[in-house]
Amino acid sequence: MFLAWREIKKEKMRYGLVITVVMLISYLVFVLCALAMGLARENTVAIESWQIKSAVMTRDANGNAGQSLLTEQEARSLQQKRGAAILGITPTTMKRAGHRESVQFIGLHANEFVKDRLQVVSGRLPQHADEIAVDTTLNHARYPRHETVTLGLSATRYKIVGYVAQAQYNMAPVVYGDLEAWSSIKGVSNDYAGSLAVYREDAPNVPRELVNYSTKQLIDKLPGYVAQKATFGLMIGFLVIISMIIMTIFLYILTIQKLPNLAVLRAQGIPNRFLTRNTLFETGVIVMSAVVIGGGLAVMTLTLLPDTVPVYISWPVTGLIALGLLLTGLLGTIVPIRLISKIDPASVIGG
Amino acid sequence: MTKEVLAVRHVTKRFGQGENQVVALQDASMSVRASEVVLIIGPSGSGKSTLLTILGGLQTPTEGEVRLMNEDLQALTQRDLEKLRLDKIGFVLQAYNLVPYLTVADQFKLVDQVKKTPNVAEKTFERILRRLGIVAMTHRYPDELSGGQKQRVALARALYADPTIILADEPTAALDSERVNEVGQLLAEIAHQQHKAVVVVTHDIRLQEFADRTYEIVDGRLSEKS
Repeated sequence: MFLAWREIKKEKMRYGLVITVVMLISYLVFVLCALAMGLARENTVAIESWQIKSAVMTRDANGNAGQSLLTEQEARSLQQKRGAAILGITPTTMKRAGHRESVQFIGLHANEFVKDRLQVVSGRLPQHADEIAVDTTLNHARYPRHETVTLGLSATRYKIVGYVAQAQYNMAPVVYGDLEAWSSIKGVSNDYAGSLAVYREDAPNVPRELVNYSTKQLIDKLPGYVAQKATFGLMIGFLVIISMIIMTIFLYILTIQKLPNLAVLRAQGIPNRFLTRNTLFETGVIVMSAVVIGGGLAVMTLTLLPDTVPVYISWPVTGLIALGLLLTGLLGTIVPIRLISKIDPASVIGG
Repeated sequence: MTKEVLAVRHVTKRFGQGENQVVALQDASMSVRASEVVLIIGPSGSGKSTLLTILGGLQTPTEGEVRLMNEDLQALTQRDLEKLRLDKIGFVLQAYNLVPYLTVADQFKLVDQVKKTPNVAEKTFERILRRLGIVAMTHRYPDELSGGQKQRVALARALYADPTIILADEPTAALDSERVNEVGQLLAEIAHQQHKAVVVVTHDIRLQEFADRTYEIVDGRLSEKS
């Protein structure tokens, strides 16, 4: 610690540049992470807000709730178990006064548990078939409360009665309405009672033509979700590895430059472990400073982004990434530490 | 008679094997007592640096024995040798002697960070700093000092840990005659007033007048000059 602090203090420019490079990488990692989380949430936040454990839909839908159609008989049978709710989901277009918005309509039964879990920010939940509550991220000026809109193929005008937080599904804002309205918006006959059944607990055994999904499976089946998550994950992973390689290169060069001084210290009896601890501490200071500055700048940038850019800062995930950067940075000290351990103190005698 | 601090007996050092073998030291024997300056003088490539590395426990001899304060250096582990260098030996080296990112004061504090045994008494050290003329320089970095000032700080650094023996490697390299005399006098003072054993390896014959005894080394063979 003693040597590291003093070296950083004396060589401000050199260490400042190293910190800047690592800071830029951590900044990019944090921004990418917030964007990835923001996009992921636009896919999943509505499902997460329902707090379900499993869902059942038709086998032919291949996990895509928008494609699933449950018959009246199937819906009745699936509703038998306690803690079940039938939902009707369809992607559609919401129109009002020349404005069009791609939304996901989700029809609910009034007396089922999902409705109790929605987070109403203002107004109330729909109580009649011609009422809707919309995602709070929808432009309030274009879609104000008490105004009416049209949805999909339905000729009915639906009145906006409230705004709901955490209401995004499959990259679109959610419009919650009555399950009765779902079939007319989707344009299917009244033979169908909904898209899927969701459960607070494990789903019951289902016949062959239906499939039971866990919440994770349900989310992973969302179109493009896994690919998107993997792409961002790879980008973040590569950046963390690149930051480790950069740290290794910088520390290697810094160590090479001071090898003669370190050899003198070794000759004078300064133990190897003292020099190793200093290198580790130096790396810790570099990475921590870079992560704190990079994180701060990332938060500032993210708050300045327009609302149209989906962003979400998860502090636990951010903390994990910071820890990952620190650990990979420390891993990068293996090469310079090996270099220090191989110093021949006799080399300083004889010039 | 002052006590023997360092004893070298029949030390030989060979590098390489077979046809490529080089004999750097051949059956070298010497002794150094407290309160004396011993000069080892010889041309480049004569083996004097090899001898100094062996005296400082930085290399082991191929044959023979080196005892410091009656302790056989070959019998010590690397960790023991590190401790011995830290506690008992003060090195004064010709290049890279000071850590460039430490102020003069911090060069001494570094010793405090690692050394468990006490250093030289504060008053004694203040006297040393005054005698070396570096009291006002304690907040300066090495790159703010002249060559002579650096060498004086290096001497102070070597003395700070209160060693038994000072091993100096070409301490007057790149110094003018005035500075050579200054360093020579300092080494003699350190030996005679502080009762340290001082071994100086050099090819600078100007230091001879400050030595109590002089050894000459030529082609790895060490002999005491009368």
